[in-house]
Formats: sequence, structure tokens, C-alpha cells
Amino acid sequence: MVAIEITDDIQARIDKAQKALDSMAKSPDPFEGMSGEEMDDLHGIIIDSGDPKKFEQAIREWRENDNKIQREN
Amino acid sequence: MLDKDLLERFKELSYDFGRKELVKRFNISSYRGTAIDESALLEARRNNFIANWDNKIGYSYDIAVWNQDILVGLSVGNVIEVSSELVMHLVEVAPPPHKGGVVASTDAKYALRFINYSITTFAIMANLKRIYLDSPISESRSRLYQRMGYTLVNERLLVKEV
Repeated sequence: MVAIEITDDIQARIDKAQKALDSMAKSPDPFEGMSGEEMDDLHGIIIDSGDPKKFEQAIREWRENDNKIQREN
Repeated sequence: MLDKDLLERFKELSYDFGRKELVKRFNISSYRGTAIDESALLEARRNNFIANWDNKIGYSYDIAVWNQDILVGLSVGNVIEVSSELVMHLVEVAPPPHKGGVVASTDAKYALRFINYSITTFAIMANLKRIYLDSPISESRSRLYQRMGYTLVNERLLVKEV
């Protein structure tokens, strides 16, 4: 375990993370209503970006475009 | 610049958040998270995981999810400091018994929940703004992530604000 001093700032971040989980717990269960077939599909590679550098570049391009649209609006 | 020791500590805390949340919400205490270490890589090979996890090194976030001593899921991602974002590159859940694995669909469900809790809390503690995922090819998987709070912003990209 990495030893770090739990400052007020770090404690606030930990509390914020807990609040986010508490909020997620109030939302409907994302697995609710999934069929047996859909459940069987939840094995193997679920997410694969392929080439990490290319994917991160695609994100940069999307973000730049999204920022441009936000500015225009 | 993000402090490396601090990020490591947040990573450990995120595993703890995942474990505690499953106990709290589902009264299930057999799951735990670790870094992807030698024992996780050994289990990934032994349990017929598809991706070559031995090559997945150097990522700033990694998680192995275990049900007791059985490896049920693995995931890696990168923190993009300049934009304060987390990009998850690979998520894999252990194969079911008929494909040479030992993991039932119940384990798959809890593994994905565990990873979701852990990456979300890690991103929040690290003061990141967003989490990105490559959209799964399967429609039902993509819908699942959208129910987990991600938005499909184009044919490839899922984004969650944190």
C-alpha cells in the first residue's frame, strides 16, 4: 500500500467518490431486464480500443470538434 | 502534474470502493480488486482470457477483479493529464465454462459492476472530468454502458462525465 497523508483535500475527494456511488445506487440497476442471451454475451472482450494511440487521437479530435460546436452555440 | 504516489493510492482506494459497494448493495463479500500483477497474468493465461494481457503494461490504471481466488475480469486505461480524462482501453471478463473458463454469467455481471465502481471512483478522486470507452460492437453491451451513465457520442465513443 502506498503511504500518503490524508489531507482535507484528499478526504474531500474520497467523500465525493462515495457520494457518486450512493447516487449510482439510487438509479435503476443497469443489468435489470437483460435477457439470458444478453447475459451470456457478457464474457470475453467487452471493450477494446485497438490501438491506444489512435483511439486517444480520435478522442482528441472528437473533443476539439465538440468544443468548437459548444463555442458556436 | 499528477503525483504518481497519489494516483497509486487512489487506484488502491478505488479497488476498495468496488469491494465495499458490492457488499453494501448486494451483500456479496467474495470479490476483490488488485493491480494486474504476475498472479493475475498467470490466471489470465490459465483461464483462457482472449487478449494478450502480458503485453498490456505501462497503463496508468489497471484492475484485476477476483471472486475468491478466481480471476473474473481485467481492465486497463490511461489518464490523459492535459485534458484531465480517463480513457479505458480494454475490459475483458473471463470466459464461461463452455469456452474453457470457469466463470458464470453472475460473475461477469459482478465483475463489470466492480470495474464500473472502481474506475468511476478513481476518476473522481484523481479530479478527472470524463471517462471514455470505445463503444462495444454488440448493441446490448453498448446499451448496458449507457445504462451505467455513459453517453454514446458517435458510432465509436462512449463518454461519462464525472
